[in-house]
Amino acid sequence: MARLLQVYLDSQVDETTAEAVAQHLRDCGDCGLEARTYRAIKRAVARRSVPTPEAVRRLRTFAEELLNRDQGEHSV
Amino acid sequence: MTEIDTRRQAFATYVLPEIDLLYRVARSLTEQPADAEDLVQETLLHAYRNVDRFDGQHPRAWLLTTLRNAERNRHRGQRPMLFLDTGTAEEDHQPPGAGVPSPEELVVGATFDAEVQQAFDALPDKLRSVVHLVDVAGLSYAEAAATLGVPVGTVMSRLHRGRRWIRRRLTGIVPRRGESA
Repeated sequence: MARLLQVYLDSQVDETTAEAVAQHLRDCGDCGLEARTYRAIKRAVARRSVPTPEAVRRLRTFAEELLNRDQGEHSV
Repeated sequence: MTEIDTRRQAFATYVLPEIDLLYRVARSLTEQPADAEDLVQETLLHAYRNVDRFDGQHPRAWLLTTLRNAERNRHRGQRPMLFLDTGTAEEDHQPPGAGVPSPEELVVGATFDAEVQQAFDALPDKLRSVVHLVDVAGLSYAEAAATLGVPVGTVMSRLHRGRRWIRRRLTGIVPRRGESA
């Protein structure tokens, strides 16, 4: 169940399996607690690091310069 | 349409929308943010030069493979290590608890986040990179496997081990099975 729970929390199971797991988590307090704990961990990890807007902006500029460079060469 | 026009259009269509993702993934593969930026620049350069040969199928997988190759070129000789799942089933055989409270209700959110952050940072590199790819970068198992050049089963194994590792370091603030009143 432990491995299946991870796959379920990552939404990487088919619909039938997901429903079966969800039902079990409703019925089994033990597994339900486990699921909430791991979901809380997953969300906390997701919050810890988001892309630095400045870095992404610089990379977009870099990519656009690649495009513009060829545009310039093409128009010459 | 000229060859350059075709290349520019393909690059704009397939690559530009994925820059944010590429940076998030690169952050999981590098120690420093500046290294991640360099890695994505190299990936963008390589993608631009080769996009005319890309068939348009699965652009994200193509870009992630390009990113992985760029990372390998930066560190030749280093290969991903296989982490075998040696975990036990001990957590599956704890006595059931009653009146289960939500972990979120038991801790102040900031404290919980700080504890998770600390545990995450202390994870072994190979486990941390997988947890980062899936939970922070938002990749599917298949995409994470493509990024690391390992089988999907390895991704699942490392993910399971990584999260369990974090959980075991949160025992002070998260109830273990059977401990909740």
